[in-house]
Amino acid sequence: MSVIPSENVDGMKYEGGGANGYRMYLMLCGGTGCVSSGSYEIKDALENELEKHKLSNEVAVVMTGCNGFCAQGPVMVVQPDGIFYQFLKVKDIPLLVEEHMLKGRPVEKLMFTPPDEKLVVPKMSDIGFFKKQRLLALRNRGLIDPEKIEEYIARDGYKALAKVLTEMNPEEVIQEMIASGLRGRGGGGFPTGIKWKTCREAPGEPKYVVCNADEGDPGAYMDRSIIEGDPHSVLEGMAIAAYAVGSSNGYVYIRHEYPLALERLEKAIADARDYGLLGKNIFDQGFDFDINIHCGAGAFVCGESTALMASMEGRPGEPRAKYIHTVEHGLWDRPTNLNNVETYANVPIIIQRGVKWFTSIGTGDVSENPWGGSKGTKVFSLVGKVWNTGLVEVPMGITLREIIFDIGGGIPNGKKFKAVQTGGPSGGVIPESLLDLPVDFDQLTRVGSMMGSGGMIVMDEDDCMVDIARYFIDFLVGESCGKCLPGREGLTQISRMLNDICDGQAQEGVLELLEETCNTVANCSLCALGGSAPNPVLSTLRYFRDEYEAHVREKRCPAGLCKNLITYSIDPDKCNGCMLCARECPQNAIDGEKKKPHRINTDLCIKCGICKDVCNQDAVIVK
Amino acid sequence: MEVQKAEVDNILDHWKRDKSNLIEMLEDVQEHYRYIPPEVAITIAKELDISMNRIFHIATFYKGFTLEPRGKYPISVCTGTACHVKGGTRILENIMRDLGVEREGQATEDQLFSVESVRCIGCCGLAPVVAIGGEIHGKTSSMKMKKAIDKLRKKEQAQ
Repeated sequence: MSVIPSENVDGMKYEGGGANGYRMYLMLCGGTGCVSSGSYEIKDALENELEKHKLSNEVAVVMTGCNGFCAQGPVMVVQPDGIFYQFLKVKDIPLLVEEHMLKGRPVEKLMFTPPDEKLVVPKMSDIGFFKKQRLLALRNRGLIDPEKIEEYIARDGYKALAKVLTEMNPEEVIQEMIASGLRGRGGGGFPTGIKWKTCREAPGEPKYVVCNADEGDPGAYMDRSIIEGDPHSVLEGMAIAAYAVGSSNGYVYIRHEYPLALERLEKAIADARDYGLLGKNIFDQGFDFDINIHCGAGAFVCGESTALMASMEGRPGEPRAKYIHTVEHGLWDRPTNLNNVETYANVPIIIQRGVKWFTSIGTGDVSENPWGGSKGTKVFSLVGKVWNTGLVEVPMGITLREIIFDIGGGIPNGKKFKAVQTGGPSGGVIPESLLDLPVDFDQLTRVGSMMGSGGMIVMDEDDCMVDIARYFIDFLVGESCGKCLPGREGLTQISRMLNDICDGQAQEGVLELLEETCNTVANCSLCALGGSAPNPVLSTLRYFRDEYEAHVREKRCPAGLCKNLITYSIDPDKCNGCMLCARECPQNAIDGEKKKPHRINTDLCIKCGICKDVCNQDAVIVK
Repeated sequence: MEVQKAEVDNILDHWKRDKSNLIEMLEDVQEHYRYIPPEVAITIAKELDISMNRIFHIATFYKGFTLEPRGKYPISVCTGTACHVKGGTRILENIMRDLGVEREGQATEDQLFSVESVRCIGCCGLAPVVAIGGEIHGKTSSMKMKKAIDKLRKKEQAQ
């Protein structure tokens, strides 16, 4: 499927355009990634240059949400021709405007070239990264200005809300969601429709609808991108949920680390209120619903539903036992429906296009049982050691190989693929032998990982699996709320063992003890985060036990990463004696004359890696 | 330190002196003072009639709060998974050594910088990522950070 069907461009009207709008739209990415790479400077430069050539009435510059191809930023798509430009710099803009916008000759040197190829790929829809994607939750990605509610409406926004309010009763909406098989995109994979039904039937008033935007999983950022790029899709999904469960109060719980998302969300809510799409008597149907924002203060555990609600009540975010369900006793002890950002963003399109269409995408059969498959798409953040890093939305059932090699373009620098980590600190690593695994909720769980919120971190031969396990456990030790013993002390013990292994201090038998402790923590923790916490250790032990054994028995780190087990040296055949490393070494541990091979004094070396970073000849060896 | 009671009152009034907004109030305090000064915590406890224990429970539970002042330019080194595999942790160690600070969160003697690891700033596509005073530096390295910090320090010294 082409990423931008031509009809997508129709119906877009921009303020200030003539009767027929502009002849050309420059859709410049305004996501956090591209903004940090300078897209606002590019915007100013484009507008100046267009003004200079008197093109301001013909060509519009639109700041869109995140395009997902963050590593190439700032990126821009020229519509209607669909030409994709990357790595834009202010100095390139005069040439670009003169050539492309004035003379109609696209500029090749700013286009994308696939790794290891010479020919450029001008059109966005032909670029491997975009080709296999299917955009449902990100349907408006790069096509609208997220700060203009009119543009969301022009792309059929709030039509689904109008439809449920005028044509459906709440039970029908819930039935539709159950039949669609939509499962929670925040990680749990619980069927959304069932959750709504339980919340609706739970006694107690008022009821609350909450959006979980406390995206704490390291390595995942799709929720931020959706809020930044298309905030109204989330608000509309929440309003539909509120109608279905019988609520008139909504909250978004968002991380304070996401200032741009927060700003756009605030604007979106204010605009929706102005348009009467939030507030009293929406669409004159007697339905009231409003949304407020609650800003988190930085605690990973607050992504857990009960901790999140405790935090909203002004308390420390400590989870409580799972047998009391938040759909019955949630915020302020009232029935509360909590879904993730991406889940809400899926709701309007399911209502609009129907169950039949939605269930045609994905795996399994959900006609009898909403757990029977994984329907629709999932957004992944494809990052780490892969050529094309960024956000990708793919149909459920696609294989890991397709995601990493066709969309991601494979592993850079001629390195070999080793493993992919999914599911964040609750997930696990998946080795090369399972690359043809179709990706859905149940398959990932089967191999010892999980879908989680959709982080997908690709690792190559230089990554140490014991270090990865230690990384996640140390993360969880730091983020543990400290309430239950397995979560507090169990994880600390696991962390000690892993640190000993990485430092070459571990004794024989440590792996068995490690496994036993992991199983205890998995079985006895209070909340789901504790229950899944040992996954990174158990999955690396399952697939890369030999690496653990090398650390324990041979005191050797096969990947060359664990500091205590490696030494730095310089390959005399490769070193050209440029003296760069010697100058930058903070320990003055490198000596050698100009144009002669250098040497590292291992007694002084603190293994900071700066010599390897600065070496142009790839002459620094780590073993 | 001198705490203006009016400043604290402003923050409390903004949140309608409602105890359930305590986290938001502390967020404002942190932003204003760059930490939670003990004097402010005592004032809030008195004004809202809540225990100091509760305030410190919250102030130590959430990563967004600190009990010592951050530098004028707080440096956040992302140690999310994508940044970790691309060497983020090593960058953190190198910045700490360059700044001469012993632990995360400690400000330099001139109060200009403090450095700490953060859990993922959601720019994984640009890993490794460091934010200096809120400005995000993507695809960075120990050397690039050293230069950026030197530049800021020179700018401050010139003033």
